[in-house]
Amino acid sequence: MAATDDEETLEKRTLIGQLTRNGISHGGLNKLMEAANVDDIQEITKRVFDLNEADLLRKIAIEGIFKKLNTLKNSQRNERYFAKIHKSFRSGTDNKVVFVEGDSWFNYPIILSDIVDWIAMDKKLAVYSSAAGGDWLLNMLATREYVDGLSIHQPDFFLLSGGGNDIAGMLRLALMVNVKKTSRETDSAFRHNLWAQHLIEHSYGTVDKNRWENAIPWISKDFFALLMLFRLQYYSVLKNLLIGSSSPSKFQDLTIITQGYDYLLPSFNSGWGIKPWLWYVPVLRWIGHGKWLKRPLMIRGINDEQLQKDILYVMVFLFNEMLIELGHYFWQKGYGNRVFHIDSRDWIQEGEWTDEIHPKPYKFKAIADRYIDCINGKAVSGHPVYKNVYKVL
Amino acid sequence: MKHLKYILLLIVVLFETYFIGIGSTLLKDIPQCDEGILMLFRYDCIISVFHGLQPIWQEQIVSMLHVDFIFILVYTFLLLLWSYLEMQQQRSVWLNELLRLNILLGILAAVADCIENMILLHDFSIPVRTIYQPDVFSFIKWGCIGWIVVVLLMSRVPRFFA
Repeated sequence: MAATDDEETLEKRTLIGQLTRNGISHGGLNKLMEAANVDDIQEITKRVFDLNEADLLRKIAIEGIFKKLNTLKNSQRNERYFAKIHKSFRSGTDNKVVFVEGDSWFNYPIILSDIVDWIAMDKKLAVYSSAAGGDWLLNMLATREYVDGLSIHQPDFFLLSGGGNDIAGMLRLALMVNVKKTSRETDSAFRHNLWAQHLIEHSYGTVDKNRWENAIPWISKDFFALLMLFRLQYYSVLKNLLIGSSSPSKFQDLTIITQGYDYLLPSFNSGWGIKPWLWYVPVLRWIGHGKWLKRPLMIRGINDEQLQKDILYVMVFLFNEMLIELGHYFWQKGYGNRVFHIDSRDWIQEGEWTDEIHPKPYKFKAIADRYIDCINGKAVSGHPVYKNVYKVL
Repeated sequence: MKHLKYILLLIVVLFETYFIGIGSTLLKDIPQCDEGILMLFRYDCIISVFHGLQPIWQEQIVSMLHVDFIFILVYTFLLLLWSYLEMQQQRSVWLNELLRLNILLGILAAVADCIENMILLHDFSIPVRTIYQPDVFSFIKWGCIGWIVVVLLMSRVPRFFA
C-alpha cells in the first residue's frame, strides 16, 4: 500500500514538473487534474508565481477604498436578494436563486452596470453576490467564501468569473510574453506544449490564423503554465461542487456557469470625446487603464499596437477554449447539463470598451442576457448554443 | 439605505421651506419689495433689499448662505444616491445611460450652486463692490436638477406601476 502511495506521489511530482516545464500532454494534465489535491495545487501555484501562496495572497488582497466599494455594492445587491426571499420567492416555480463569485465583470463597484447588475434586474432571479472587483481567482479559491455562500443559500445556479486579474494584475502580463520573438515557430512555447496543441486542434471557436501566427511566438511558457493552473483550479472547484470530494456533493441540483471575457484591448487612450453621456469613460480610465495590459507589454519591448492586440487575442482565445474544454470533460463524465460557458469572444468592438478590460454597460447587458437565456435553458434564434456553450452574438 | 434616502429628502424639503419662508418674511416688510416672494426672482432687488436691512438680519442671511453649502452636499449626495440606486434597477439601456449621466449632472449642479453662493456672498459683502450676476450658474444648477428629476421620474414611475 505504502509503495503504491509512493508511486502515485512520484507520478504526481513528475507530472507537476512537466507542467511547470511546459512539457505536459493532454492525458498527463487530465491525470494530474484527477490526482491533485489542495497541497499539490498550492505547490504548482508556488512554482508558477515564484511565491508561496500565503505571501501571494497578502500581496493581492483588496484593501482600502476598493474593498469598501465592493462591500457596499454587494450589500445593496444582497438587500434586494433578501427582499425577494422575504416575499416567498423560493415558492415560485419559475423563480431561481443565483449565487455569484467573481471579479470586476461581476462587481464593478462604481458607475458601471456590470453583468450581475443586469442579471439581478430579472424579476424571476434572486442574485446573491460575493464578487469583488480586482479579485484574483487564486484569492477566491483560497478564501472559499463561495463555499459558505453556496451551503447557506443552496442556489440553483453558481456563476463564476475569475482569472483576468491573475493574468493582468501586478504587471504579471509582462511575464507571459517573451522579450524576443522566438526565431522559429517550432521553437515557440506553444509548440512545446502538447496540451495546448490538443486544445487548439479540438477548439470550439475558429481561430484567426493571421493574428494567431503573429502573436504565438511571443507567448511565453509562463502563460501556458498559468493556463494549466487555471484548469486545475477550475476543475477542483467544479469537481468539489458537482461530485463532492469524499462524500456525495451537497449541491446535487447546482448548475455552474463560467465566462472567459472578450479580446481585451491594450490602450493608453484617455477616452475623451464629445458625447456627454460617455463622461464616465475618461473618468474610469484614470483608475488603471493602460497599466493592466499596455504597460507590461511595453516593458517587454512589445510596442506594436497590432501585435499587442494579437497577443491578448491569443490569450483570451485559449482561456475560453480551456474553460469550454473543461465543460466538455464534465459532459463526458455525465454532468453535461450542469456546466455551461458564456462565450463572449468577438462581441465587443474597439469603441465599445470603457477601459482596457471592461466593456461599456450596454455590452455587459448583452452578455447578461445570454446568462439569463442559459439559466432559463433557452436557445435563442441567432445566438447559437453548442453543447455547453452559449455564444454572445 | 432606503430609509436614509427618505430622511435626507425630508431634511432637504424642510430646509428649503425654512429658507424660502425667511426670505419672503424679510421681503414683505420692505416697501419697495411689497410683491413679497416674487421679488426673490429679481436679483437687483435682493441686493438692494439686503443692503437696506439691519445688520442683524444681514448676518442672519450670510450665515444661512454658509449653511447652504452643507445643504448642497446633502442634496447632491441624495441625487447621486437616488440616480445610482435607480440605475441598478433600470433595464432600458438608454434610461440606464441617462441615469449614469445624472451622476455627472448632480456634481455639475453642486459646483454651480457653490459658485452661485460664492457670488452672493461677494455681492452681500460690505462695503458694496462690483455686483456680479449669478444667473448663469443658477440657470445651470436648476437646469441640471430639473433634468435629473425628470430622468428619475421617467425611470421610477413606469417601474412603480409595472
